[in-house]
Amino acid sequence: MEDANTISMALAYLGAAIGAGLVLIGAANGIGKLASSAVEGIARQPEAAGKIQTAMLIAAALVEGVAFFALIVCLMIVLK
Amino acid sequence: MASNPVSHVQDIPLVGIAKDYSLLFPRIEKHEGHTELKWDKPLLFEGSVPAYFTVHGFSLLIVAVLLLWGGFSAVRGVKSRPAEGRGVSAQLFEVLIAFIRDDVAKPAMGPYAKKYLPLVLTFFFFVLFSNLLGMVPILITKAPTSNVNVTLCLAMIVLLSMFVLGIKEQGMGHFVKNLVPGGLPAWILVLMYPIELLGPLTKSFALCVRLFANMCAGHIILAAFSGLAMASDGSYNYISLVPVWGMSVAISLLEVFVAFLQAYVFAMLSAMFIGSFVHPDH
Repeated sequence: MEDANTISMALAYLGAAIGAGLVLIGAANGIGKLASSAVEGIARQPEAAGKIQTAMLIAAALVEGVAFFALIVCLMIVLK
Repeated sequence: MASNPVSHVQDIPLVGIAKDYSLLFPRIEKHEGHTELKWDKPLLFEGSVPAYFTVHGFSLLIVAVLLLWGGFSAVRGVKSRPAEGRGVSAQLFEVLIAFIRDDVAKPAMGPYAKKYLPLVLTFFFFVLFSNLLGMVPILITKAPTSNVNVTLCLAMIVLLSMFVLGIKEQGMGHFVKNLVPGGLPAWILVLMYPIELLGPLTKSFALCVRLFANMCAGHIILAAFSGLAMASDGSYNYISLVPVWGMSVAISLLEVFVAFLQAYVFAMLSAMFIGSFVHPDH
């Protein structure tokens, strides 16, 4: 059944693409909120800028790690 | 066909690279419209599970050589000269080592920082050199950390050291007791122990996937942009190469930053995880 195979492959690609986009929305949302509160904290207390930057980098890396999980899943769908 | 249960056991000869060094370089095959580069993967040994000596293994060897060379020249620079006239690699390494010791290990591990600093430094420098090796343009090396097996091994080392060092520092009884928060009734402990044991596993797995995905994604994006350039094969469309070149340069710069950042994050998180088991805060 060539049609069923093609349709299922097309649906898989569609799912992977939409999934990657949704992941992007979530990750950018999270990192944006994180960056905004970090910058606000630096504006209130400029002498704590170093510590706030360190904490911001760590939290950003963690959030991006989660986003990359989903990205790997999408890539595995596409490359199969 | 195995009448004897041990008839599948064979000798393990080191074939491949030891016989034929030209396997390190690709074969250039010229077809009609385009040329292709094909790497032959030499077998390390012939057995029931074959192992190949791929470009990732070659890059790992290069990373090892660089680390050893840099480390030994730094130590030589420190020992032979007074405080001002130290060698270049000694000063470079010293900046990074001081940064890791003061900002990463001491806040995370407390009084045990001095004892476990070499482990964190090993993680940091290995990941840093591996990530940066993938950014060098001309060589055939890929970054070893863009192979999920390498990052999986690193995460396994972190997981193992979390448990082993935790037991070594606290003793078995205290370690088991500190896994769960204190003051819980007995019936809830049956639920809490599997959940607490799942924590380090998930964190190590996240370490592995984060590093692997960060290294891989940059190269995939670069490959996608280069594919845009190669798709205009045969048509005289040279103007499309300009934005491809621009994006490649920009994304390569971003990747260098990501290489440094991921090395720092890996070292920081592993120090925090190991510190939480070695020096638990009640």
